[in-house]
Amino acid sequence: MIAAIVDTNIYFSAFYNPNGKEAEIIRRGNREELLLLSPDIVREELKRNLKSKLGLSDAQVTSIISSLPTVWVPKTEYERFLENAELIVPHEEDAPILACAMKFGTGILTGNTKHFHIARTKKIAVWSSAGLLDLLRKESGA
Amino acid sequence: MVKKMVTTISVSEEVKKELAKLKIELGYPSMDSLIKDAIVEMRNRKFEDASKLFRERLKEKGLTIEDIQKEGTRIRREVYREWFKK
Repeated sequence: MIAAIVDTNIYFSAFYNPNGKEAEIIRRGNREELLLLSPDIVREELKRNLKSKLGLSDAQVTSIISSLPTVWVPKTEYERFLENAELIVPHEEDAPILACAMKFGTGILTGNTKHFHIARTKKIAVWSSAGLLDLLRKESGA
Repeated sequence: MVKKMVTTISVSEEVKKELAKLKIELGYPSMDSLIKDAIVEMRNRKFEDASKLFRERLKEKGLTIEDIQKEGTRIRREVYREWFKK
């Protein structure tokens, strides 16, 4: 099964357009055709954004986040890869995403592929939603 | 072939009959696969409810998805500094 380290923008796009490619990825995660992983900093970012910008209650935020089939990776799991990751990504705050990809030896799913373009030179796949869906179709022979 | 571990669950006679009927009607090879699909449906429904709440609140607040994504960049920087740059 393909595993992907998912960036926050993918989740927001999925919530925004339930008929779009990002939502399709969530549904594939629900069907266990794809393993979705994100560092815990992504969950924290989702929480703070949903609360501060949308004024949602704690219960509503918990309900939204728990609707995702994501496995949340605690920082203790990826912290030791952060230093290296910081040297690769243009924006240091994106380092946890890359650190997780390094830890699990898998690719990154993001709406900002340009932020991670240097990661490709380190043999880490960087997928857009369309790219990952194409790959899944090829893998399933469809 | 690795055999899956199995267990039992308790359901009413009525639910058992309904599940058996659905299993035949929908052509599922086992009760396990039928229930697994039902779980996926419920997960998808949960996601759709979350999506609806998100879109409704976005509209109420007069915000766009770009506003949320932009704020996300600021928040990530803030959390990153709090967690890793103390």
